[in-house]
Amino acid sequence: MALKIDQGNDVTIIHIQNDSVDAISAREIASVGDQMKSNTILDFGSVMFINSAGISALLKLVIEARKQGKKLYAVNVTAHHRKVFEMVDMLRYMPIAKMEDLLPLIKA
Amino acid sequence: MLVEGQQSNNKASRWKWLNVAERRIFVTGAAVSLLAIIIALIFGLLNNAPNSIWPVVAQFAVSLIVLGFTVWDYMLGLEGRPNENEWKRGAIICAIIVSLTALLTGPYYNIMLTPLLVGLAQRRNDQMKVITLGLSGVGLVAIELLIFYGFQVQRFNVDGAGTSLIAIAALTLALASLMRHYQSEVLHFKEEAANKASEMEVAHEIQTSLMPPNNFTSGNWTLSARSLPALDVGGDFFEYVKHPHLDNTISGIAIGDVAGKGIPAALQMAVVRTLFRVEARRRIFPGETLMSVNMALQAERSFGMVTMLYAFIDITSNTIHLANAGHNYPLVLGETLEEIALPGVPLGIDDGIEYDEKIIQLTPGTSLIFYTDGVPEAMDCNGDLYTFERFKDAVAANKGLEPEEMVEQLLKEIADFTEGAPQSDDITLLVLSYHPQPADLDLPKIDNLPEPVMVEAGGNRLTELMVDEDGVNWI
Repeated sequence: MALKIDQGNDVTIIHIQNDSVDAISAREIASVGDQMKSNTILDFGSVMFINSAGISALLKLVIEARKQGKKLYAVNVTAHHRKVFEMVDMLRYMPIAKMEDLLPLIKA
Repeated sequence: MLVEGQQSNNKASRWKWLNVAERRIFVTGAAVSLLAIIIALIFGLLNNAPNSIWPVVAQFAVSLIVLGFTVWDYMLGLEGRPNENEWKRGAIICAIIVSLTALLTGPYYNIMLTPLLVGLAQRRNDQMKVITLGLSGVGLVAIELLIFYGFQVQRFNVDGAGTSLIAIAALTLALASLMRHYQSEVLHFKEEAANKASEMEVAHEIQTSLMPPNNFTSGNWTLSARSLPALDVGGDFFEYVKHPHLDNTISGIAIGDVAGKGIPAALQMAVVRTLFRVEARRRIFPGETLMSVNMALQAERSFGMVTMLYAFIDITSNTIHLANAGHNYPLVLGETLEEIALPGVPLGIDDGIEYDEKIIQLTPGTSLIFYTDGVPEAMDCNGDLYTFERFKDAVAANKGLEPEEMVEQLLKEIADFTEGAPQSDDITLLVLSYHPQPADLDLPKIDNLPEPVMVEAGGNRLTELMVDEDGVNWI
């Protein structure tokens, strides 16, 4: 899977460039966990499908990152996946935000 | 353990197969070679050229060996497929034999090198080796022809017609052997596929038989459920929790979805169902039950997440107590359609997760609809999803139907939407309806129930718990 990672002073932006997130691609996201700074933005702009294995891997990653004190945000999430994220309580650990609202964080 | 009789049977079956399919080719090839030898010998004798007889005999003897190697799978190893060392050893021996013969008799026989190497390479089931060794053989022959004819150093006047015949026979046999090899592979795969299909059919029957009945009536409650796995077996499940004191009475419903499909999901599902059954019998609060199942699952070697919604039915107050571990929100269809938003982390993700509860007071005629993610994510041929919204519209449009009719109708509408597109995920639907009956009908006998006792329920909203004489909390 193509992951594009932008690093700022205190923020990491991970652009998921695949159209689907499954167990394999979610593991790939997890493999860049050590590159996550204290604020990390996951960009789902290209993602059309997330299967249950992908949700499972994402949840583990997000909960683990929060335990380490990192803040995660999801941007460009479709309405369908917003609902799925809400049901699995992912929003408690990784709220959905608009990229423009996170600009101050990125520019800091 | 392999016993002697089995080994004999394996050998017998190999030889039997060889006799049926290859014997004619092999015998014909050998007969042609022998005939060619005899003709060559006669020609040699008639031409008074005794010096040329022995090289010719040597050539045809080698040709028989080559033919044997080419056609006989078992020459290089008793298991039919030689290991790497056997293959290398065989290749070296053959190369030496053919090279020595070429030195003695001229380049004609090295045309054998090509089918020989092809025949050897195909034993390894490696198409690249077939191509590279085949080309190497052709290249070697071409170089030798240049050396022998280019520099006019041909030592013996051999019978060109005879060697060509044998070369053609060897090549034909190599091709026949190659075809036989792939035919054997195809038959093997077909047999394997048939065995797997048969095993999956049995697994499907076992899984189906372990599911609760599709339709069930318990006092004021009627329910209907269907589970359609995307493959023969799936990871979706539903479960009825039976009341420990009242016969034929349910006190809870669970619906769940194990991440993934097929056999791994089915095995994980069996583990989760067992854990749930144990925990649901040990405690009353749905939130606590899910928490216990999650902790037990963490102790097991969990392979992924499981979403589960547990609805405890309080038959004394006609209320439903819900706890949700990341499953699709249930729908309540009364006068209006309402979705009960109750987020929760799925099971198997993290330990120490606590689950909130919600209580729903039902009015007569109300239905609850539970479903797995295969419903909103059912896909049509264009890749468009059925969506939550479309499903909610369909539920609202089918208000008033009995649970069984509603399940059938909703599944039909999903099938109409997907229009025969392959089912991408397991689909499970469960509809529970509350229809209070007149008091003089056959209601559950509750005379033998233990006295309810008031307990502290902590953060949970349930306040009644039944305790039997052993001090065990029962639903």
